Amino acid sequence: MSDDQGSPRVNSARLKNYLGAGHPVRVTGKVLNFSDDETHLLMEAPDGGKIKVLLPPPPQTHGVTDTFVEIVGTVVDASTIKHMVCINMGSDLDLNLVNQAIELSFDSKFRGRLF
Amino acid sequence: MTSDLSLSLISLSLTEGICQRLNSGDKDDESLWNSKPTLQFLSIKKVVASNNAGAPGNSNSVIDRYRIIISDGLHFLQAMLATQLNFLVEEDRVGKNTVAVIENMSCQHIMDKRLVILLGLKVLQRDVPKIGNPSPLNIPPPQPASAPGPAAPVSSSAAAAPQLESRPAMNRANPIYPIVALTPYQNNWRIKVRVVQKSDIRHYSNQRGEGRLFSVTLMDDSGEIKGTAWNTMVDELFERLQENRVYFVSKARVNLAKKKFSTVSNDYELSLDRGTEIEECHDVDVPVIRYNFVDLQGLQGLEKDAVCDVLVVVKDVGDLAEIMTRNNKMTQKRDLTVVDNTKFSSRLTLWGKQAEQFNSSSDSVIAFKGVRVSEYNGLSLSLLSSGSMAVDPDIPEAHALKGWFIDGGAKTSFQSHTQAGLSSGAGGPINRNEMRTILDVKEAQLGMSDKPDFFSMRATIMHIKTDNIMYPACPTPQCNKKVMETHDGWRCEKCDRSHEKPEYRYIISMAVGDYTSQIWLSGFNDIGNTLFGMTGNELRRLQEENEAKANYIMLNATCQPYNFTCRASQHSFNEQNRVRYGIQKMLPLDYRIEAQALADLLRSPWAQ
Repeated sequence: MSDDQGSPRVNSARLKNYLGAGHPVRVTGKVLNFSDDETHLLMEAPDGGKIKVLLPPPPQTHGVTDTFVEIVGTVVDASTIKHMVCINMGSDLDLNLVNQAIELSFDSKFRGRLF
Repeated sequence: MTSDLSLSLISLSLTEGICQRLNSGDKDDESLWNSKPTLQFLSIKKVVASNNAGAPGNSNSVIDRYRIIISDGLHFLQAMLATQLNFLVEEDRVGKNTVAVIENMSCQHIMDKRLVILLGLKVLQRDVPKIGNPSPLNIPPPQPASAPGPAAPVSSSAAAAPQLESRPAMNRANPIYPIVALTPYQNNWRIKVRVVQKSDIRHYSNQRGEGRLFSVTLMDDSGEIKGTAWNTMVDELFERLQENRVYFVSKARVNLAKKKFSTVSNDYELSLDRGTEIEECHDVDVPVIRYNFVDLQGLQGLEKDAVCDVLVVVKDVGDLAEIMTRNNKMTQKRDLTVVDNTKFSSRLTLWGKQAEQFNSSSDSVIAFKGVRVSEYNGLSLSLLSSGSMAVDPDIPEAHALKGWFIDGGAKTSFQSHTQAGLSSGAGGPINRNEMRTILDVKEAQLGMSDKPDFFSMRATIMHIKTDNIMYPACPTPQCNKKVMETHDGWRCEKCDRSHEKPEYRYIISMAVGDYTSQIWLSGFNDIGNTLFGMTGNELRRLQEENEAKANYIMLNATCQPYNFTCRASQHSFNEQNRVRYGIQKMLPLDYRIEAQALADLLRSPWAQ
């Protein structure tokens, strides 16, 4: 989960920090709805903000089946990411807890040691 | 006693004015009652006082008492000689006109008259001519002998006599003591108490033979004390002492309390034996039962086995059930669900007679005294046999509780300690703040002392011993004793019967570890059920049918983390003392809660 190799887990507020970063980020959240033509979906980030996820056109599949998912993708703008990979996380997830984990991971006290 | 010769040379002077002071001075003035006045006895008359309390078998049924007219030269006054000094008169050591120093005296209050009691005296000289010309004090106008008791033959003019005779049992030498003041070192006491609880007659047998006993809990404003009557006294006192009545008790033996048999909070207890005097009291001002209420929410703060009182509303009354106790006796029990205005509910169990006789409806306010906190299936309460219950008691707290209940309290949803105990780690038995690591447990030598220690921890199961994982047990509920296979079934020694099929119960011995160390824990049926997700019977059947699958299930149970509450205690195996760790509760982790706890921990001052 370190910056230079993997994709850090962020919430909606931190999205803008990674604009043009070159590496993707991951957002864990709850799928709110799909667009009619399935070009994008709307999800709720752990801090409550709404993020638009641009989905790949067919024949690629987005793989979103569960209510809670983690989307790995590149940042398009402060509230949009482009889907690369999706991890399904079931139907019960405490987003508040996830948010706490995200915030803690950015806390300078813990950054190098725990995360 | 100094010889008369030397005394005749001493001029005797009486303590003038003392009679007036004794009669009308401050009755609590210690200096007055501890002064040792010199007085002359103008006359001594015997008074036959029979104990009219109707106590059959009370050996002191007829006591002579001596009424003495004491004079200080200025006035004379009625006094009574304490019975322990009767011998002075009988042996002719004091008589008419004797002058003596009163070394010890006290004062008895009858209605609102005072009576001086002479408890100790030293004769200065017998037969001294009358000193001074004392005039009478404290001679109340002649009263008709309205006494319920037998009129004693009184010949002197003191009309206080019928008053005294009517309450001869009151002529104890002593004022009323508070219960807290009772000690074995002093037996001139009298207490005025209410019987708040009376036990059944119980039979016992020990090395010295058999016997019977019953006990009562006595209470006054200062405290409570237990009184026990044995063997023959059981017959005499069992009917006389009724619950909720008030009695004067004196001359019982004060012994050190046997705490094992009693939960009454007093270091001493009374033995009601042949010499004990008990008289019913009809006064209006009588000690009322005192409660020390804990509310249901506060139960969490109490230790297991603590005794307390609760004031609650009964929400649900269970049925009477018969169960078998450890000693193979059948007992009745009844479970109540009780709630109070802290929005908590709890189970309260009644036993024996109290269970049988319970007939209050639900929604009644009841005060329970003498309730023990136990951890059977979560926090619950059990009414002790020495406890008592009062329905709708007339105390302000009860009225307040009833008001709350009628006002809508009945409809609130209640939190139950029971649930807290069963959920995974949300409070209850898992004390998160006191979670220990295994190394910590070993190093702290928990369980090495005489008392068992309890602790909580989180660990992962490393290995489960698979040989001897279960035993055939008696299927009778609560029995669980190992049964032996005989020609006609499986025989249980405790229940003294055979069963067609046994119930297989788990005995689990497993190694668990955390990041610090590893230890062996032992657990029973519940633990096995949680580990494997199936009962002993089911696993055994699986073992017989499909051994591979059974092994797989058992293997799969390892590597799972759980929260444990454990009990560490010492056992000796062939002269070797070992600490064994038993599992009390094993709860799977709710990651949500655990993670939240971790997050909180990171934010706490500890992590800064």
